[in-house]
Amino acid sequence: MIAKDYPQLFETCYMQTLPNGLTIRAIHKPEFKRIYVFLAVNYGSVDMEFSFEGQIHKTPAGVAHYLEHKMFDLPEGNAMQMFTALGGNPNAFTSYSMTAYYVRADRRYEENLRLLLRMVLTPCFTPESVDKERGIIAQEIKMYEDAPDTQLYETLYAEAYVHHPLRVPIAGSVESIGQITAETLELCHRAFYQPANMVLCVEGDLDPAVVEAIAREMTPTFRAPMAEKLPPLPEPALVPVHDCLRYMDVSMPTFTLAFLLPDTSPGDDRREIAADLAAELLCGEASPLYRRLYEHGLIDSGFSGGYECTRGKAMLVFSGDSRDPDAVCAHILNEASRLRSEGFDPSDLRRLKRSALGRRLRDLDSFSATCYRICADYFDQVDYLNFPAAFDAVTEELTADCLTWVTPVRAVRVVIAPKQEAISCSS
Amino acid sequence: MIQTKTLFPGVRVTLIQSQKFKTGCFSVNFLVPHRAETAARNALIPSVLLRGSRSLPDIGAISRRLDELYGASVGTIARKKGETQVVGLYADFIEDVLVGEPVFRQMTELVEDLLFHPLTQENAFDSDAVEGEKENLRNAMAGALNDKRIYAVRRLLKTMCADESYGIPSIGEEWSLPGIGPADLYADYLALLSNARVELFYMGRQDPDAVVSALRQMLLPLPQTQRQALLPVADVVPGAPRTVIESMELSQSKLCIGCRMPQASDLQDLAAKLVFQVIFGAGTTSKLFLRVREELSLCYYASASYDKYKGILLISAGIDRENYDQAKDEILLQLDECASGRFTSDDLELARDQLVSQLNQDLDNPGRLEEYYIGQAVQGTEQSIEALRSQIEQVTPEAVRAAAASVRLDTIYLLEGVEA
Repeated sequence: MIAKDYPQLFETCYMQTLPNGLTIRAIHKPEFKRIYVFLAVNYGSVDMEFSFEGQIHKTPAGVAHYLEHKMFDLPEGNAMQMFTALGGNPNAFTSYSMTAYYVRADRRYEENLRLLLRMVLTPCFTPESVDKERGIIAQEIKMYEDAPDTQLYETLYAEAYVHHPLRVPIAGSVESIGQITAETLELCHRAFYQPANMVLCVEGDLDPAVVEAIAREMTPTFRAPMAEKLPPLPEPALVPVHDCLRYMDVSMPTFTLAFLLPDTSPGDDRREIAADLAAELLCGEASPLYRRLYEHGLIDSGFSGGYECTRGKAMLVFSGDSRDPDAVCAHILNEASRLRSEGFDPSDLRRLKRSALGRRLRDLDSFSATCYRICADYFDQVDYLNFPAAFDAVTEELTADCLTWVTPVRAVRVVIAPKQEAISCSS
Repeated sequence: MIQTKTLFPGVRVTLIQSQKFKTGCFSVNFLVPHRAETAARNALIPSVLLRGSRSLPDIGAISRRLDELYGASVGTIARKKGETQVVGLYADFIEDVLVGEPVFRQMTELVEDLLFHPLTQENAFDSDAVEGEKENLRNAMAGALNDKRIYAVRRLLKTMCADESYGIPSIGEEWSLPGIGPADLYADYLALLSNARVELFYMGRQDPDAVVSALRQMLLPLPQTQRQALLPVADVVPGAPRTVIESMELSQSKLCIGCRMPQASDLQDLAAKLVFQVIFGAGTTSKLFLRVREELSLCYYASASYDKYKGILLISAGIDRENYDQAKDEILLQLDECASGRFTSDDLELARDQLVSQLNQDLDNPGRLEEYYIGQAVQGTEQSIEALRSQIEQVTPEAVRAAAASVRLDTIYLLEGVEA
């Protein structure tokens, strides 16, 4: 393993890429009892169409998530119980762009790591076990259908894009998962679950050399052919005006107002920082607009704004609960226009940078957040731990640029409003 | 190293010196009996304090100050431990050595300012601040509807604990809000400062003596008074089980089962009850997960959690309406299995492993430690996580069976999903 020091972070990260393509990152934390093992696959819900083994494949919505559920099956039984016996608490998630498996443990990291790697690289799908999972996933999908926060961003993505598979919910629908079979899962596993398509990131009291040795032992020595993801159709250049209103059993209107940014290029580590700073200048907690909205009871402390990006599709997103989402959105647009014409005070930007950098440093206390960011940024060709340098490179111009996108023609808005007579009782 | 120090009579701090985090934290907690008439008032006070102080007169000024302190934060606390309400402020901030500046000291000064020098007009809080925060609290109360899993638990407790203060949410109830005015809330605040027991928590790199001195300095304006004792929570023996069914337009129905499981008599008893909870319904090796989810595919989640501060075991599952009877019967059957001792030595060992691993990880988690030790203070006990861990390692099958056998079904609640 190659040690790389990050003196501003007081951290050292050990790095290696194996001949089979597996990328490894390890952060040694001798003082900690907790251990975190995170294995990320560069395969998410949007990767439904791909070319592999000389063929074009179009797979049903929700297949990456279904696969995640079924990876816990091993020939000798369910891996969950095996982890528990090792002091490990395993879990997994599927996002639009990533599937990740992780274990939290207090001991025996070697065995937990071995088991995790073996589990993720061992397909074990029978028609019976795949059928049985369908009911569980259907319940999960129904739970999301009733969750206003999930519905808010799923609707946002469906409204914001015309072609991009971000439009489709991560777990798919009860209908689409009906088309998923053991064969579909085997194909997608073969196509994407290759070491060269993964990053292993571990943090805790561990020996980086041992981590590398275990990774070598548990993964194939060769690099196998991998699927090529098909790029989605290009989105139309001009965004039509989007405004979507839905009704659910919520106590007050909840809204999201997003501004579509031009695509972010891989390797760009400054844009997220600049866009987040622009959002802070515009309506962060220290801004005049935030105070005005808060004091008028138009937002509460749950209101937030920031940059979101998946596979280059970038947005500046503001969300919260409000009795009057129209007013909040109008204020945000007006304030952006004011900041564009009057400019902002450079000392405000310096203060916000100092704050954001301090919070990022503090976030390094969380192993899960750190490992996730290292892997997600790696897939975007960014070295996450370089963030102090990226902060330095963010200029006033770059931040001001982000404010130019906060205009009505780039806006997509979703409001979920309360239904009348939400509850009927019979006891 | 964990120490408890008395700063003033009735005012204590639990402090843990640790060099391993980049973030330091402290909390100031006021402990009062949880009551329907006062719950919302007490919950409101910290939010009003964060609206502005003598030297930082509005939320923008406070935020800018926190930005200057490298993105430090101050948040409100309003929680319920059994039948005690805990309200106060929580601060976290970057460690001094990382930025070469005394951030901790400045945070104690900031919190002193917020706690003791709020914006007032003639013995009243600022009325705009009070009205604004009342509205936010009202919205937070109503917001319980948004997460149907939490909402179902709320509705269950409403019936099950109708005559117990535990049934009142930690932030109180909406009916009590209209009567709150800026002058009487200010009087409540002064009473809280004078009467409530005060418990602090600190975790970070500072030397314990320096922490004690800074926190004592911070609390100097606190009146030197006799502080109110907390009442013990009585265990409840339920009558005949009740069933409540309510409907809402939902894709998924929520099943909540409320049981009584008496509070633990000692650490050994607590360990047995926690191990039972894990075997029965916590985590992926539990009977509920393996049987109700994995074998019968009835749900995405089915789990049980024990509130040791109150003596209640809550079981929660998201199901299809048509599977209600099957899910309910299966959950109660699994409970019977535990009470009849029908679990294997492997089940027991896995449950112990899971709990020990969790407790060891909690030792690396400031938030969990804070929660644990403030809870200890509420209960008037001084048992370390390490002591609990060693008791868990020794739990016997008979003790688990006895814990399961002590469970009594109280109320079944179904939030029934119906189509539009």
